[in-house]
Amino acid sequence: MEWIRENLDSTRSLQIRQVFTQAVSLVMIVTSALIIRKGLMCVTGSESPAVVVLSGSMEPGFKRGDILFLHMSKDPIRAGEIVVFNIDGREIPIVHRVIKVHERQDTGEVDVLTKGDNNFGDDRLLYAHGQLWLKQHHIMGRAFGFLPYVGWVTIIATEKPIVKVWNSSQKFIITLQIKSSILAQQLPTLTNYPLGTMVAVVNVVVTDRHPFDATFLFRRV
Amino acid sequence: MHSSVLRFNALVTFAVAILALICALASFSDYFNNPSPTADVKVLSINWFHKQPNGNEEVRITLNISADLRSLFTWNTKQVFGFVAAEYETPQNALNQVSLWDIIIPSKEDAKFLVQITNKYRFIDQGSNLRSKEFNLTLHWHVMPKVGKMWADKIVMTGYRLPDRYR
Repeated sequence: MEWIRENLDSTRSLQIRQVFTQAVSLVMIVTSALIIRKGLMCVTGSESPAVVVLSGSMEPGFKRGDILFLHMSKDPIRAGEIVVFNIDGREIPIVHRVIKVHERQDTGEVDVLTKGDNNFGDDRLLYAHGQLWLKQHHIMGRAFGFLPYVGWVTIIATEKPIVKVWNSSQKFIITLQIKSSILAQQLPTLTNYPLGTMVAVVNVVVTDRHPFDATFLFRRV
Repeated sequence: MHSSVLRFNALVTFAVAILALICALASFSDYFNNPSPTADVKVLSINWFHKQPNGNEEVRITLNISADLRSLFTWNTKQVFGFVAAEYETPQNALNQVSLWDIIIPSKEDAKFLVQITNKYRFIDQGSNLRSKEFNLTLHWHVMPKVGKMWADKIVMTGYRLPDRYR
């Protein structure tokens, strides 16, 4: 009996030790990821030093799932740069190219117009209602580096489309075809896709009874 | 200690590290490319020049663009994005950059071209400063790599002038 108890004790301590080692290594992984992120934030000066491309609007240059590295230098913004910007009242940042710049003589303030390389028109339809130009404060970062495919990790981890649909108030997946530019105007996120693209609604958050007063999340099918 | 999970973990870690190193080297190799692109842009005609009801002037223009961007391509180049912008100064604005036309060049074979186009994006001033305005036409390019750092540069062509009256 004695040796059984001894054996049991030793395995138990081994197990505890193993669990502890795993916990420590997990903490190490998390903290090192944080260190890298914060370190990049310091070096690049951008609040989000890397973004995952979510839409196909910059294809064939950037595809869904690619990663862009951003910096936020003091240099003035110029046409041709790829910028990441946030529109007031819109959650998801957009990655598009600057096609027009007007820089004030006295204040140095800039008016910027963007467009996705793969889109037909410029981004005015994506901007807030009545907004003609992007200002400096809309811009979160300017792309300088590119890494393909790696962003799929986060897309898969965060976007589980089917789960989202079942969680939302509308429990269905709609497949619709973008037939007219009017529809594209009413559903602003659709302007990311050329007319005729098949898209699936993966998330609907209805904010009001009016059918178009809702936030849609689309996925190309 | 030498369970299959640990071995697999070590293998994946090693593979990812090697892949990251190869990506870094591929991007670094672009530094050794010294491109010598050439470009020439001619204004063939000013088709339309008027003032909008809101006071901004608009121009429609026909351009003849010839360029040879083949030397920009390296083995790490996915595509080159090129565009021609009108650039000018006004009393209000220190710089106005208006993209007139752009092109996605997917391969080296397509990088030498000669096209005659009207402006794809609207050439609209902020205000009405365009009559007899001298402006530059600049060919910009943006090299998008397969992996790593993106590159951009330009060729500035000077000495263009808009007409002194609407047409």
